Amino acid sequence: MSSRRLAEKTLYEPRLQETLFTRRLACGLDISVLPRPGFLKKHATFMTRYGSVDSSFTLPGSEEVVEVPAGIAHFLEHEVFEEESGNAFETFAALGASANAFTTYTNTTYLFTTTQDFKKCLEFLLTFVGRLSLTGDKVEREKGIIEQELRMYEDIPRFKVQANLMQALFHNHPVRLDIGGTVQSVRAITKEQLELCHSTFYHPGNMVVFATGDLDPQETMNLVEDVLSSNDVWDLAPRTQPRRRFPEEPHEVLKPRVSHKMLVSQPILNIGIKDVEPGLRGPEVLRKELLTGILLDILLGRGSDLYTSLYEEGLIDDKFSAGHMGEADYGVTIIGGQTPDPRRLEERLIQGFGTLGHSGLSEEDFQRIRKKTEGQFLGVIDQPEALAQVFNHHYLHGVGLWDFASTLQSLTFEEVSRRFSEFLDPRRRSVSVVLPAE
Amino acid sequence: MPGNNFETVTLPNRIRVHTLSTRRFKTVSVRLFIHQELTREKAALTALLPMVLRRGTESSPTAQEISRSLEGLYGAEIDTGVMKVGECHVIFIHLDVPGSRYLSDRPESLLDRGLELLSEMVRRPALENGLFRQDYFQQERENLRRLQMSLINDKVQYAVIRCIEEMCRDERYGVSRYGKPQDLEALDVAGLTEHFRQTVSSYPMDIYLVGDISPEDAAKMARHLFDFPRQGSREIKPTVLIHEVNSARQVVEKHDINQAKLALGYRTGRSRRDPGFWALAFCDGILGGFPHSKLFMNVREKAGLAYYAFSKLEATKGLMTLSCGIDFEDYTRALAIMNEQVEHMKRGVLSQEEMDYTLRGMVGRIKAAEDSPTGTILRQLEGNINGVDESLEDIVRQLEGITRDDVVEAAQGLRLDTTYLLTKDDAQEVRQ
Repeated sequence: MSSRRLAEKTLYEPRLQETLFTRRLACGLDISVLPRPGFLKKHATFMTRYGSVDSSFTLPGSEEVVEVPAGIAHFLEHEVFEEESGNAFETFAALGASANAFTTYTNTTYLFTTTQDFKKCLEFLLTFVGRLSLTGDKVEREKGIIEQELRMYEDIPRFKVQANLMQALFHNHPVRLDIGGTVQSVRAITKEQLELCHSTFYHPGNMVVFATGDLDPQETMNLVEDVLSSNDVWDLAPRTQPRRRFPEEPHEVLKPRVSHKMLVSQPILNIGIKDVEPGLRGPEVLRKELLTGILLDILLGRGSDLYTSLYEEGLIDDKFSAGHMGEADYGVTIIGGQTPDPRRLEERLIQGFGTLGHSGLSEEDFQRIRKKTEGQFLGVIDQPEALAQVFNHHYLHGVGLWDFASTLQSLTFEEVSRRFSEFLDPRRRSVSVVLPAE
Repeated sequence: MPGNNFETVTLPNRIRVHTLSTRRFKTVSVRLFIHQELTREKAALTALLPMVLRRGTESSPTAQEISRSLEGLYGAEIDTGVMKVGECHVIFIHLDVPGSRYLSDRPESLLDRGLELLSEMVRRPALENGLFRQDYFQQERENLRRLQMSLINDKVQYAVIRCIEEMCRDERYGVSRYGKPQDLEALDVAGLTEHFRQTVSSYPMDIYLVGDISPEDAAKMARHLFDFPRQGSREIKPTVLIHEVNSARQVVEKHDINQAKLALGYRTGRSRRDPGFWALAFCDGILGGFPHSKLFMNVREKAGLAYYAFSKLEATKGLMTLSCGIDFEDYTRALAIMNEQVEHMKRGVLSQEEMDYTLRGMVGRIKAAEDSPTGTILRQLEGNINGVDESLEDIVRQLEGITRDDVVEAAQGLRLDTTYLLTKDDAQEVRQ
């Protein structure tokens, strides 16, 4: 059996007093288990490195470029749940588990949580994701369901304002499009395209399994190994992965400003700032993410002067937020929330950044926020679902779960200040506003 | 089953302190609840109170100072607000503090400092001449007004809330947990301060702690920080359960939107206090609590009409709402399917599979909630408000004993009260 394993590691984190067990199989699949004795529920995820931005690629050994309609990764996620005999939800239901899946820009994740029959659930997870049973009728019916999903999001102002922002920030990169695509692009998707994307991206070498709960790590990893080799849905021959193609993306934003009217109680403002240096690798992505998170807390966290004055002036409420999402080939910071006066809020934010750009950030703030960031990671460890997401997110960048703490401790105040200077270039900034209709 | 059994002590001032001592979590979670009756007159005032309390205390008089203290406590968090549990209006203050033993500098007394801040928030808020600060009062009143208006932004929730408001328009449960915009004008600082004094000194108060703290230490800490003089603990009027429906109503609301939302409000005749409650919860599970449930299977999977279709039970008031999001033209079809599913429940058209799946699903869900401090505390709180003291084992045992006849009997108690439709201005084919 050990011949099928390429590597195995046991990673103990002394401060958190937790151990992560990992194994890589010859087919390329990675498995990680974080045992949490005493927890009643067990949670597992099965992720493929395939998201909404992977809409143009070349297959291994071929130069031919495949282009597929927007929203296909998400459509595929829906279809994977469809089984010949019904629906994967039912099998999980029979086992007493609760199952779900989600698609992001960069990955599709299938998951379940259960307090009973974990092994059967895991076995089923590792099986149904590998097979696709489509009929023309099923595909057409699913289009109706997805259309309702897209229309539901169309009516949610905070999604609308962000969707518009992404389209204003990016010229060509597919991250500018909604993860679910549009009603038109979804209607154009064919059964054959779905099958091609499944066989291309749902290969064990492109996937990772993570499990946490009151589990025996060796037993769990062995089970994954056995299920994969005993069922016939997986192609276990190691394979080169498809090459994704991304168009050239200018540094400047496409449009500085975009506005939309809809049913909403008060205006919403989102300011987006495009990252300066995409093309980062692995640990650099995590580093930038942590740096940016700390920077945003220094600038706009609840303890900051700017947040305090905006709040006291009534320009923002406590749902105001600032966050960063960064991948190897794109990155964006989004700042915003509800406001009675989007113009004034925008002005005050830009002004506030300018002032701080001159006076400089405070190192004391940096130290305090770093402590905060360290403590809040404990909250993640306590929630199995959140933990799995953080693990998977790190994994996509080739970073280990425990690298969080060491990276955090290695950050310097100078780096944060340098990162801040990138925020001040108006050519990298777009503003998206949603205004109440009438 | 690792028991999530809280140990309770009642302080001389009648504040109850419930502790669940466990090393499972690396963060200690504290929840302070003050119970009041939900009334039209007081709803806005009660909603405003925790918002103003979050703004400052005697020793940290600004929200910024509080936030900086919390950041310095390795990202401890405090959150305040109100919940509606049946006709009980609950003020909450949440405190989460990371466990020192898992942090790089092993800082001392993080929890003590967090609890001191929590205690100060309810005992010694920032005042000026004995009253809440005028600026905090005005800013938070405006924030509350915006919060009241913002319900429309989440249309999935909005449809369910509006359905219930219409259904219970003459009952206390129909009052929004935030009150109404028209209630705000009449509020003033003196009234809010007086409300604060009464609330803290005479309404039932519970403190729940979950994490790496012993019940003895929790009790000691509580006596030190929370045993302040109070006038006692008023009785809260129980939630009124109404079963009969004189005539079902239909409510249509129109806006410029992309998807219609349909919500059906039922009276169940049972609540968390009744011995038959778990049969009702089981019925809710089969009908719309899971992806294998009748609503999801028929409205979404078979007819392909909706992305979401579910039912939800309000345990304390005994209301069930069914809802889905559909194309404007599909209103009649969706309504017919939903009604048909309820009829099936009443006539006992349920398979053994549906019974089995739902039992496993419910047991799984209830146990899984115990892995979150919030989940386990909310279950305790709901039991406490309804005067029911059941352990996790008791609940599981009851669920396992439920028969198909029990479920059908619970379903036969469902009375459709209100059909609510959120649609667009020029929607076609919106007719019965």
